[in-house]
Amino acid sequence: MKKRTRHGNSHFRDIVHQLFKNRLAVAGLVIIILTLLIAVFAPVLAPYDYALQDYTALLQGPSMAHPMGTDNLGRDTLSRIIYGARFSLMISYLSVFGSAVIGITFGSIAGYFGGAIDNILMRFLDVYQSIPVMIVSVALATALGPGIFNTTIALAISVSPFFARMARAQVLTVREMEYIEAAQVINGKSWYIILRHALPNAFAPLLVNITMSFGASLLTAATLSFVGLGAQPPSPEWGAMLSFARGFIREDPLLIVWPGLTIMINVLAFNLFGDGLRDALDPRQQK
Amino acid sequence: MTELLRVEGLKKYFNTRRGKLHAVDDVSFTIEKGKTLGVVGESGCGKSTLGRTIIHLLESTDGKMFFNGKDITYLKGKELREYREEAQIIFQDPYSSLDPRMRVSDLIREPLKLKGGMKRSAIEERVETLMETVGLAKRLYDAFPHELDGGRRQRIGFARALALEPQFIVCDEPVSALDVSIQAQILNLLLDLQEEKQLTYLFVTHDLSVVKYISDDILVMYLGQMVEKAPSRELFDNPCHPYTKALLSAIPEPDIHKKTERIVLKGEITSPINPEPGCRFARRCIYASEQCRNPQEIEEIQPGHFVSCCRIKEIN
Amino acid sequence: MEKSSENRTILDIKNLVVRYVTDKETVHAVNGVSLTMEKGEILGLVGETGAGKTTIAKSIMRILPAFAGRIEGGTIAFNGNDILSISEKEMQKLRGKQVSMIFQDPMTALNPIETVGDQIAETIKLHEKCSKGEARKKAVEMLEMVGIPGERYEEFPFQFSGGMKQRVVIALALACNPLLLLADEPTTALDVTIQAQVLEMMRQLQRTLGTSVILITHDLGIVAEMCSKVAVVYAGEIVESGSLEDIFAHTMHPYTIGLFGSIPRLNTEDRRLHPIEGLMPDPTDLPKGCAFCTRCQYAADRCSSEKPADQEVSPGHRVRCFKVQEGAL
Repeated sequence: MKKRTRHGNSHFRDIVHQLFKNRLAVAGLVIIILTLLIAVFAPVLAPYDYALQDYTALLQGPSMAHPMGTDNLGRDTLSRIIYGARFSLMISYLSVFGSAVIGITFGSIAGYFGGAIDNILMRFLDVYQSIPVMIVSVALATALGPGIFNTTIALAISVSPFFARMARAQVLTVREMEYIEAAQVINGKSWYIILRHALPNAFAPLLVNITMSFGASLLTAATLSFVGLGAQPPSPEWGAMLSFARGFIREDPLLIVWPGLTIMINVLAFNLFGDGLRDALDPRQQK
Repeated sequence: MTELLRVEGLKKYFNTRRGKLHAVDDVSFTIEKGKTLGVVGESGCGKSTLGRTIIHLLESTDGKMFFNGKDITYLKGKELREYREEAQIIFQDPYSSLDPRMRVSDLIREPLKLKGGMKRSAIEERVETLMETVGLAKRLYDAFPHELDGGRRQRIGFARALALEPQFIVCDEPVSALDVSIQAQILNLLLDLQEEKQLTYLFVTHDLSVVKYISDDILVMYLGQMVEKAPSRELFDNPCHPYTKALLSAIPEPDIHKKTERIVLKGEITSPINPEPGCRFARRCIYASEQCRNPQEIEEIQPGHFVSCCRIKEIN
Repeated sequence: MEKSSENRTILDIKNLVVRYVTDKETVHAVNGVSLTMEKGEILGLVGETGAGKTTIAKSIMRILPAFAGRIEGGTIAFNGNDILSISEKEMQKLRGKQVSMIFQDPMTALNPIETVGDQIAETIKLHEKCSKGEARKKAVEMLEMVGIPGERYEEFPFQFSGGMKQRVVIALALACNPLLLLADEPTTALDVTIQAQVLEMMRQLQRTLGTSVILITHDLGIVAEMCSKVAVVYAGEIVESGSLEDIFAHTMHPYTIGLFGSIPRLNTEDRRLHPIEGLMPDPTDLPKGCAFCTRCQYAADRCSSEKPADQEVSPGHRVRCFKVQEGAL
């Protein structure tokens, strides 16, 4: 009587079922999880410390001791890639969560209340979004100064308008549903209705875009590091490694291949998973 | 008899790109406690807007409303919350009026939780009583709305509306999305509850046979205006406005022996945006004349029977 | 004798079985429907949502959703030809020319970016092999026949109101003077006064053109007004069929009785309706016996274990119920 067992939501189970039928999406998910595990267990997995310099082995090719070779300071590339997962993923995850929180908050307020609030917010975004994301991030990163934390903030702020627009559009659709009015007549306050009814029902398409953004933000973070505004040495962020390896492209071309490949695989994984998620959430895909 | 709701000259206009849409234009009526007023009309006549304005989901443009003698035209904050504990609404679409992510019990619990001041055990008890009142089996406690048929979903809507123990419920086409056999179940439930709890209804519908069945009084609307209002029987026995006559004769009756004289109207409903000052039905009316271009007066031709037509004497 | 009766029969459906099969479930939409119709008749197909009315019509048109809809058995003879065995190419020639269909939502049948006149002219040209000018002339005639002035030929669907759109759809369906028209809830989306106009027009057209019509509806009022024959569909079966008189004045099947008890009447003072308790059975899991037995107040043991056959109780009046056949009702 007191506690009733809540068997799973059948709709949710359908989505999971649909998702697992999609092999590419599962592959994406596996890579995402693997990378996460690598980041968490980096100290255990990495054969060397990422900053350890070995002057007896500079710019070496792959060998038993160094499967991916070493860089110009004799640091083990494999260890740096493994530790790099920590930095790169942190920037990507934190910045996406940050921008999602900022964007969805403003977007759902604009969408729910409409009228003047919506107008002001959206016109502001119009102006803001007329500047390319890259330039905004570079400008913000320059203003805040380089470093992982600042890169994260710069990315979070520059991507948030995108989420704000998405959230607004979704909430606008949900707002037309009668259950929003039904919540108003039983004296639900606006913030309650947004949090309890509007957002949960608007969330599915947002989730797909959040997943897709991880890849994009990984790429932007790498770009920022590449131009010297992101992670600073000796942090082994993948983008920074790429930038660093550029100087030795003639001596050791493999040095630039490893971080590049890693970034590519990870971005691909997020996109595959995001694609699969969208298909699973879209009822038109289901027979 | 005590009056529960009085509406005087209520207007609700919407601003659209093409001009002012007169959704509800000068509607007046009273409903007595424990009675049902049926509001009928075709799509776009403003009947749903009327219900929503009374329940304060929309703010009126002009006119006055009194509930239990108290002016409720403008309400805010605490007053609005208190009013909504007395006046509730049941929506037309049992598919979009329930949050698809909530379970039956959550949906019924929601109004009680929002009201506050109730112990958890008391809320649980009330949820179960409500489910029983509206005829929802206990095993549906954890079901999601999409697992249920329209009739059961509409029962959830009732339970939610009844949760705050209101005196007055606006029923906005509560059965028009349902199949006839289920429709009958829901209509019977409405009548049972009215009897049991002395509820007062404003019943909005386009279905004339349903409205006759459930209402004490009927108000006929056309393009935002009230064209006729009379006690239910009187309206069906003695319809006076040309539109009401046409509307009643247009209902296909499931009776093979009765041959009704059908008045088939010409033309279509015109737009309620920036309407002309005269009778809005004149363009489809077979009796229309020059004087119909002037604003129409509402006349009480018999006690309780109101008609808004300047040619009423010549027609009848 | 044999020959003349064959000539008069326009549609003869025997034992039609249709299922929708997906990976998750099998919906038993139509379960052994037999139906005959004579030329010039208006047959009302009555039933509630999900009873299988639309599926029957779509089977006649052969437009069931390709991925899931399967005709598992039975024959459909249209004007003497077995529709289910001819090729898709031959079917395309029939569709629109000899048999056409009107849907509830007129918008789905009209192309939003083509003028209504051109849409009608195109259909005519496709089937009649006439010149552009002739097709155009005929299209204007069709528009005028359904009460739309010919000047509106060049207008687009969005410029028409709901009732007018449905007229256009009817003009489109009748453009090639088909032998059979399937009208699926043609007035459900319309207001009563507009519905009255459209029904009036349909009746007149049917009289002048002599088209046979299957009118699918849930509204017994419309049936009483329009139809000469009625078939009541429940859970994919025809539970009762007969002339209008048979169904309305000598109602036999408990479900049909229940349907009549459910409608609020204008001419009674009764303040209580007599609804059918319970719900329509799940079409993925139908009862073994009579499909209505779960809701039937007269149901006996036999009803839930054995399927009643369709039996003629008086000439042309067929009922599928043990109790009626035993004479208990």
